[in-house]
Amino acid sequence: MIEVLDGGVQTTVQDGGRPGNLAAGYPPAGAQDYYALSIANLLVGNELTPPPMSAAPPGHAGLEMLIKGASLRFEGDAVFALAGADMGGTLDGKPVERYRPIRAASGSVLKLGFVRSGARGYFATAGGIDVPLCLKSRSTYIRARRGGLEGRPLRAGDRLRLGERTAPLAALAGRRLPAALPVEPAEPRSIRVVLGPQDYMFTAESIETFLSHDWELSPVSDRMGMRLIGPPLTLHERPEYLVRDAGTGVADIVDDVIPIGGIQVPGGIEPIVMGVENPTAGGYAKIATVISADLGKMGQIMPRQTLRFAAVSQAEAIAIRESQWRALKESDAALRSGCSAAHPE
Amino acid sequence: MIYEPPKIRPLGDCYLGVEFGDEGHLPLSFRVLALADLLARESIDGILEIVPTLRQLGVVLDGRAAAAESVRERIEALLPSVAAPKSVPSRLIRIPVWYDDPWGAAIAERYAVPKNIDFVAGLNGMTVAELIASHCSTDYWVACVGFAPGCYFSCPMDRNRSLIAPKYETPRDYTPARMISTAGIFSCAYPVASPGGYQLLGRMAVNIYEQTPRNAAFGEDGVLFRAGDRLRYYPVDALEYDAIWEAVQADEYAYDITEEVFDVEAYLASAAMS
Repeated sequence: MIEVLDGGVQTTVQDGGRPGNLAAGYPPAGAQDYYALSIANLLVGNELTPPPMSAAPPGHAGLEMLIKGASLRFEGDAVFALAGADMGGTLDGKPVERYRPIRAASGSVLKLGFVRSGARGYFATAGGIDVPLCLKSRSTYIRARRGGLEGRPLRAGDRLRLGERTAPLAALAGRRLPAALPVEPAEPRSIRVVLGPQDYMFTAESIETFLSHDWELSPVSDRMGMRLIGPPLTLHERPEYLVRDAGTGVADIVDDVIPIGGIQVPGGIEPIVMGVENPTAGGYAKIATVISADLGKMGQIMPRQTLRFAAVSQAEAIAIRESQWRALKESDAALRSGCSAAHPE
Repeated sequence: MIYEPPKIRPLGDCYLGVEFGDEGHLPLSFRVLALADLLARESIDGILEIVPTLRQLGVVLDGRAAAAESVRERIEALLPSVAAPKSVPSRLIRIPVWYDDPWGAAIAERYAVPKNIDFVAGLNGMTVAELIASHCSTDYWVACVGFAPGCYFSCPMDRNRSLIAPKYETPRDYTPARMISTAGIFSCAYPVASPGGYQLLGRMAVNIYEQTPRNAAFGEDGVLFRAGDRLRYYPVDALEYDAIWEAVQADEYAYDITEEVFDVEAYLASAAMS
């Protein structure tokens, strides 16, 4: 068991999410930065977190911590790992590193503070966090209060059950990441998008502006959507039937699927990048869609920081995602067969 | 505009969108659902799930580069044979509504806008009583379930019963659960309390979403409606509303659901005449 001493700003149980329920209105939820949670799981011998909207099982559940991390007391010996945002973790007062497995004795206290880099920190512990499955996933869907622990962020006094470990603690604590596996993205503020599905509604100049301008993340951002501040974007005049069927707003469309990463531009101002708790359908034009491999990068940007978009094709985006996921799986296989000794003890 | 042939657009790397048009034309939904049915029966390798909306079918890819191109090709090959079916199984679900309800009045006051039902009645040249009668005099086709769990997008099946209503210029940050609403071509309801911008007409006395599903009418996901259902609203007064809502809370309410086969061909023929 783990006791929560302090829930931080917003700490939730997350795994790879629950795709397969979009037609009932459920977004996938799951880790906003799947790659970071996957690395943490990899380090402690857990099942990996797959990319969002994946056929693979959702993997072991860990914790996603926003801006300011949680304080946790281990009731029983454990091995844990931290990844994603640097929250200056200490275990019984001594600093702990990210990206390596750490042994915690029963009674010890892990404290995480305000982020020093990134926006979301991830915690995984050997065996994973064991909360009841909701539609085959343990991920928390905060807005609908489903999944996770009672469908809500953690708070002081909560106690989390742990699942069964795959190996003895000593063996898990010796795991090291293969040196070739990147732990953080090379270009954290460059977000790749596939243009569309409604890019044709925007003027060519606006597409150019969208791809060349710095965009600032608004504090009005969460797992549902991340708002951007920047220049207004101009849309072509719409046919009369859209005014009748969809509404009077310049970006109103007859509602269609909103993909995760979809960038809605209501009224042509303040684009909103949809997160893993996106509304699954909606009625505003989407200029572009953030590729799933970069949704994690998007989730690590702090309010007031800036980013830039770069366009890729759908085929390129699928290839990027596939190679990212393959690298994780290959590292996992190497660690399981015990042949990765990049950093021997 | 109706797209012939339908357009296939990428939605990021996770989905393809197969669009039959960009307008709010109800008959498009029959073709969207026909394609959904076809894809489900063909069980095409590389498709994770399918998501119908009124005018577009979302097809979720499974993330394998090798499969993505072949999925697109398979869909393109199937498209010429996608037509509205002669008939489809379609449930009819009857929904009791307290129109011109006190919550709608309170919301109007809170957001300093005219009471929505008065506003919509005025726009459509009706009295509130006429608006209620009109709203209850046609079935609504559920073209899409989305936005949030259990939220449905439905259109009046009698086009002459379509209402004119704009969305709020500044959306509300709060709408009580179970409010029914209208804007553009759609009639919707709020499954849980949430932000929103549609004009509010009344409050339903039953759930369309249960966070912890209890009643057998709800699936494991707690959702009542599915795309391809039809719904019919009927008016109840305050006393009837209270009685039904109490029964719902005690899980003693029997949802009014009729399994039917809907004659699409006859509907399209009569819609073309009207």
